[in-house]
Amino acid sequence: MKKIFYYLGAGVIILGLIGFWLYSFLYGSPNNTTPQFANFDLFGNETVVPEIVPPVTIAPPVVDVALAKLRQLTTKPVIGMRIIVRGNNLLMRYVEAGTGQVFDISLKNGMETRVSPISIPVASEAIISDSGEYIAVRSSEQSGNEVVLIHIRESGNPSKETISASVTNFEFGTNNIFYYGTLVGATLEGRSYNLTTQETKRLFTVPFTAATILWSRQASTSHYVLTKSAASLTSHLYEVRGANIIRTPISGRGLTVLPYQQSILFSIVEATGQVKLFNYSLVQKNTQLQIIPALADKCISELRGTNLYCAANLDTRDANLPDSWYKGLVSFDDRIWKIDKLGINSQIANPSTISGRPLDLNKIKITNDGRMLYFVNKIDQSLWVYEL
Amino acid sequence: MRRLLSIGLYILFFTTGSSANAQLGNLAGVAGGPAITLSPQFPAPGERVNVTLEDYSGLVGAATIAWSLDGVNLPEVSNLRSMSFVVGEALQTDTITATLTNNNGRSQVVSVTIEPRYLDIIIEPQTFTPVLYRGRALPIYGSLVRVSGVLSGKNGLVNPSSYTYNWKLNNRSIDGGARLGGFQTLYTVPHGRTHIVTLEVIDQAGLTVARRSVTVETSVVDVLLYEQSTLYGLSPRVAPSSFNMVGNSLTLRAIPYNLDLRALTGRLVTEWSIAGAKTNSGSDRFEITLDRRGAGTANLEFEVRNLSELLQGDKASMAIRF
Repeated sequence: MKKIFYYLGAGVIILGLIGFWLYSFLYGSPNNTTPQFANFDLFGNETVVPEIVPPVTIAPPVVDVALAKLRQLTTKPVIGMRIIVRGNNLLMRYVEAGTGQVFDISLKNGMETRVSPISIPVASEAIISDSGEYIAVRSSEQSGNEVVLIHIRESGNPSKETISASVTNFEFGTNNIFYYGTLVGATLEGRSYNLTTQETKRLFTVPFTAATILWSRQASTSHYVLTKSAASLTSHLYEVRGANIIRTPISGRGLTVLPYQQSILFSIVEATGQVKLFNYSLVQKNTQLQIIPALADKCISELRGTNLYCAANLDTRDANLPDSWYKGLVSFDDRIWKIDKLGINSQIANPSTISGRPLDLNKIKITNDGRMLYFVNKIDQSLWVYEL
Repeated sequence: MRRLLSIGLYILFFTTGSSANAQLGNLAGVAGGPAITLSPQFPAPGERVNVTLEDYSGLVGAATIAWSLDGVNLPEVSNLRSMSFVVGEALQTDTITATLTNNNGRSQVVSVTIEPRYLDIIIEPQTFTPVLYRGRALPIYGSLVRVSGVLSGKNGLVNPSSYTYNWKLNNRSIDGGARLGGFQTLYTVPHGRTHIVTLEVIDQAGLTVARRSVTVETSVVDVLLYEQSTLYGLSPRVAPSSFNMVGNSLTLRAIPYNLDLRALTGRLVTEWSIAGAKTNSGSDRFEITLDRRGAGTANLEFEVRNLSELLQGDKASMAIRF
């Protein structure tokens, strides 16, 4: 055989190997799960299956806000929240526990954005003004009394300032007023701080310190002072009229209170441990017992309407309330109740049947139009909304 | 609306053609005539008060007793020696009158004017609760309690400097006697499940305007354990008695509710132990961080005790599966 045939054979083999190497280089190693083997033929009629690479986009986290009447908005713990209006969009503005960072969730499309990156160490309590512009956050890092005011502007970075006084409880009123209580010796002072003019005023003083000030968000209604509640001690409720402190007829053990419009909803604990809820009319000066054994702490009233909404579990006996609930020793599997202007109590929802787990409603709020309740589940501090 | 009634300030004692005044209902019968007693003697607004007509004069033959309230007859309680009613709003005076008529047609009239007012005794135990705790601290044996007497007038709380306050603890004077302007005082919680605090307020004329007593239950130190997250802070719920440790570390905080505030800066002993062995907690003696090493179950215990008052102490424990 001539050498030429050996050279031709070796050249064909080399070309074949080069071709195989090129194919492997371009398509990778064939295996049983890829179709390239089937498409490889000698006639160039291979069917090219294009590789589809999904476009990479960085999307903000989206919360499901449109599927059910009861919806969980966060899994993160929340210490304060308020629904605010931006254009024709409703935003749930909330403050994250621990960090004090502020986020918005659009209740229209569920998009979540961070609106304040300011970190407040060991943030443990927060409130948000009606407009959402101001946020007050308590830091428990040091003495637990430092309160930081965050100002979130439409444009520009958020700013913060620290309230110099030792603050007990606090609330935003109308017209950019920040109300707070502060201890002065053996007395408790109620003060207002104008966020626009930065002017501080002393509003009233009570001659004791173990008290909570129930700040009114409306200029037309009074503030109240409640001596702190305990199942074994009697508490009293005082109305603040100007600089005068007027004793109301409301007192009792385990007293919790919700002043609203021309009435005061209050709960007391009887000697048997049973919680009783009452409605006291400031006009008619009479008291009406309610059927549900709710703590008034777990109720909210409509801003303009006459309905009240409460979270309650019917079995509240022998729980040393409200102490045990405040301490986190007990939690409830709450139902949502409505009390109408006639005083009729009706259950409107059983959240645990919808969510599949118990919800212990805390920090309950209602939108100005009375269409949505929102609250924190005390069990895990997650944020929820319920459409009425 | 039902008419609200009264506080006892004075009694008018009438016999036919004669009258006498006395300061209080139960003092009215000093001359041996009929008298009205109230229980409670100084009712608060809206409180039910029992009214009793007492007559130790030996007058025989009192045929009828007619009761009236501010001149309005109360026929439903005619001829009863005692009755009760709910007194009215604060500082609204009402007069309850009993008219005794004997067989001879001779009558005696006894009246009491009641002016109810609020006098609140506010108990402020000087014991520990966290800043965020919404309830009130409770008194424990040996701890201090600040107690305030808050008297209401027509336009709010009265200026205490115009009144004399007489405080008693279990019927013993707290300050050694009454003090002008002494609306606030301190006492140490005595032995026993309960103790009684009494306050009497006397005006500048020397008249007692109100008196109240409250029974205060003595509580105990209550230590509870909470999970502390590095990122999110303290859990609002007490850690369960049996805890599954999911991560590699776990931080727990012990909160000693109702611990005497003086003990926090005094002779306080705190001790963490794991499976019975004492362990150091670090710089914060109420907090401990556990690191997982291996797997199993261990019992964690925290104890706090005030060495200045050995009955002030408590312990809390939990089983941890890791």
